[in-house]
Amino acid sequence: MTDSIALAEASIDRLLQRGTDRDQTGADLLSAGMFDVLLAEEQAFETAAALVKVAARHATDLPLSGPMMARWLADRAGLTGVPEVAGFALPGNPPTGWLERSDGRLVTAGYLQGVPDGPNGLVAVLPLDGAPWVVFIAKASGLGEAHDLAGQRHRSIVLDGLTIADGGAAPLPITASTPLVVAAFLTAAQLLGAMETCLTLSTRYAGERRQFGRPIAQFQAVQHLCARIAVGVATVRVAVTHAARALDRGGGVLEVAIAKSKASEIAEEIAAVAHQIHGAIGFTNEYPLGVFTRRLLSWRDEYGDETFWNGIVGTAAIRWSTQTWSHLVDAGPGTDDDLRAVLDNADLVP
Amino acid sequence: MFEHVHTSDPRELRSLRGEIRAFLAEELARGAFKPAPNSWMIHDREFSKRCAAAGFVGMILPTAFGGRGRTIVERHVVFEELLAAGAPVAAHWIADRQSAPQILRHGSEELKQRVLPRIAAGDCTFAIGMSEPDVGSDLASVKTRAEASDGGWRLYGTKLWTSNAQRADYMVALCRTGAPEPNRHSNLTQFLVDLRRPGVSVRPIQNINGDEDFCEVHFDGYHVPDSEVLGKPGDGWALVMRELVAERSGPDRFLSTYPVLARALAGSHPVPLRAAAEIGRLVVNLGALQAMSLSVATAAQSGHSPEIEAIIVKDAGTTFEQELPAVVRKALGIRPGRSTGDDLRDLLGTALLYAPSFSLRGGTREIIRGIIARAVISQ
Ligand SMILES: Cc1cc2nc3c(=O)[nH]c(=O)nc-3n(C[C@H](O)[C@H](O)[C@H](O)COP(=O)(O)OP(=O)(O)OC[C@H]3O[C@@H](n4cnc5c(N)ncnc54)[C@H](O)[C@@H]3O)c2cc1C
Repeated sequence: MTDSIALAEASIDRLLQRGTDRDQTGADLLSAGMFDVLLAEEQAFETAAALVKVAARHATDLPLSGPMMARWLADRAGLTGVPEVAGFALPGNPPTGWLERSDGRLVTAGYLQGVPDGPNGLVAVLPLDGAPWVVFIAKASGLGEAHDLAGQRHRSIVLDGLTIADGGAAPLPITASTPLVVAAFLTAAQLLGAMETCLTLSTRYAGERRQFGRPIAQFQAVQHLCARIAVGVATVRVAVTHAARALDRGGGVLEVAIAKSKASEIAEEIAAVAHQIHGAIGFTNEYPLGVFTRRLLSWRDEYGDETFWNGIVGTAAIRWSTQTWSHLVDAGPGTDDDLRAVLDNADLVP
Repeated sequence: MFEHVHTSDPRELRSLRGEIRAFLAEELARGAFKPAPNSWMIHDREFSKRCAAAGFVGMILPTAFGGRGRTIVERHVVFEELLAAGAPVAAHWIADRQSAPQILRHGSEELKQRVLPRIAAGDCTFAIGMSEPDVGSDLASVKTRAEASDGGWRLYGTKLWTSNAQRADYMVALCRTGAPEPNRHSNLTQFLVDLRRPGVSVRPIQNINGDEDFCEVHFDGYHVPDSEVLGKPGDGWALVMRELVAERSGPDRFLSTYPVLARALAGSHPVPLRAAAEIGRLVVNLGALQAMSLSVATAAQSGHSPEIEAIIVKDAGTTFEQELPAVVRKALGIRPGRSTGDDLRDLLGTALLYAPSFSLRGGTREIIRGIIARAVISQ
């Protein structure tokens, strides 16, 4: 880890530790440029991952990865009139929402599902005549509302007949599957942060809680539970770092597929094992563990669960046949192209 | 524990991978070997010699001893490619992986001159003499003893499960050279044993696959000259711990059954569409482990000693290589067998029968998890 990333981690850590007032903390994140990191020339993805990971360690309910995505796509597409902190949404595949031309203006149609709640409008990627565009949707009416397992409010948004302001839409200037890949990557980094806190809480609790006259950490069965969490965290840590550095080198589809698949799969194991270590206290809302395990069980399904990403890699591997090993370890541009081709045709409900 | 993840840029390793793949393709083309699971237990000295002649053995040994002066990461990449191809590397594997570095660090000058060039030439097989009939996980309780005698030591006792001892030239044996005081790790010593000299006898033992991979080795007063003691007498425990780090994190801890997956993807039995995600999960796990293991090698190359990281790779890696044949069997719906004439069914059969050993050899899963737990709980 380079110094600049360590510094970024330390500064968001300080902000979130200090923050008691939610609005003030949000403003602090904004003025510290935390939503802009994906625009950086170098180490953009590794820095972004570090920030969302640390935020997830604190279980903050301030949105970070969504606004990062919104800033990044709006900037790359050259949109104007987008607020500094906006939400972000993808329409799934096949898309449930799209853009149309009407009387020389662009209007949206269809709907978006599972959009995180936010006050400032939404940057979305919607197709216009089959080509992906970045669109800013300033105001839209929510239809129904649901909560995910982490307690985050989601809405379905009706897009029919919303007129897009001048400068509010432009063709996506990067490969069509990239927004999904990057969103999945940031979600994996969030999962990592929550997992790290589960490890810290579990090992600390095992050292403190006494039964039969000694800390439960002295029981081998409990030690092995702690080891399983540690192995899981280590696996996701390496996978997320690899994905970050591969993205920063201009590749990264394979590495993100691996990171998101492993993070989603391991989320379930770590949640279960951490609860087992904690006994009944961990099952209450008076103890912090549940805040993290509920996030694990919710985030793992965002932007493709483990079955989705395994299917992408498996479909490509069947085509790669005897070349699978070299695709995996050489990770060349051809590898990512093949994965993108599979991704473009894969069904995904957001 | 992987707080700082070291990564190597795959682009910088491509040309070396190209070289070793070209060597392997040539060997395959002339029928020198058939890809097999667990191939680091398959002994073929002629293959090892050709491998060495091509520059792929003794890579990190100094050139003065016939080595190639390459980096730890370069050697790691070659290990990966050899095992992914299922090549028969047992004749040089143990020597190259752990015995040569051990001799380089702790051997006498005379010993280095005599043995290291032979290892680098792929013409010297080593065996690991740790376990005994009553000594498994509790390695500090070794009972094989060495008694000081005429300019050296005499060994008495029995080593067990010694892989490839019947085909090996040498063994590094851990023996008790004094009372277990002040603690049980005191007074242990590592000795080089020439398995062709008198005073030592070897009996091969058949495993459940019908192969004779490991042996019982009996010492009846075998004489070790002082020049063949490794390190200082009594320091054996520290030496053996260092050796185990090298033994635990390499590609041999996650690639043992990869040739089964390679064969399954080669298309003789079509992968049903519904099984794509199951097969994909294996490929994803392979990628995750390859990254972890390479990260440990990269950290070691930068001068760190990533001991817990190495052990974590062994735990996750052996779980993966164990479940691989089971997943392939279910996903493709095929029946494993032996000499069925169908390559995939035969490879699966061998892999399934070898799988139980992966979480035993090199330290059992229970012991490994205990070490990981102590590291994270005390943090
Ligand atoms: C294929 C193969 C090749 C091998 N090659 C070599 C070799 O070349 N050289 C060599 O020296 N050895 C070799 N071994 C031996 C190997 O290192 C031992 O099998 C291993 O250390 C375990 O010892 P054991 O078999 O005596 O089992 P034991 O130690 O008796 O263990 C039996 C069971 O009890 C469990 N157990 C033991 N102690 C504890 C504890 N403290 N807490 C919890 N559970 C415990 C174990 O996990 C295991 O499940 C090989 C083994 C195999 C299978």
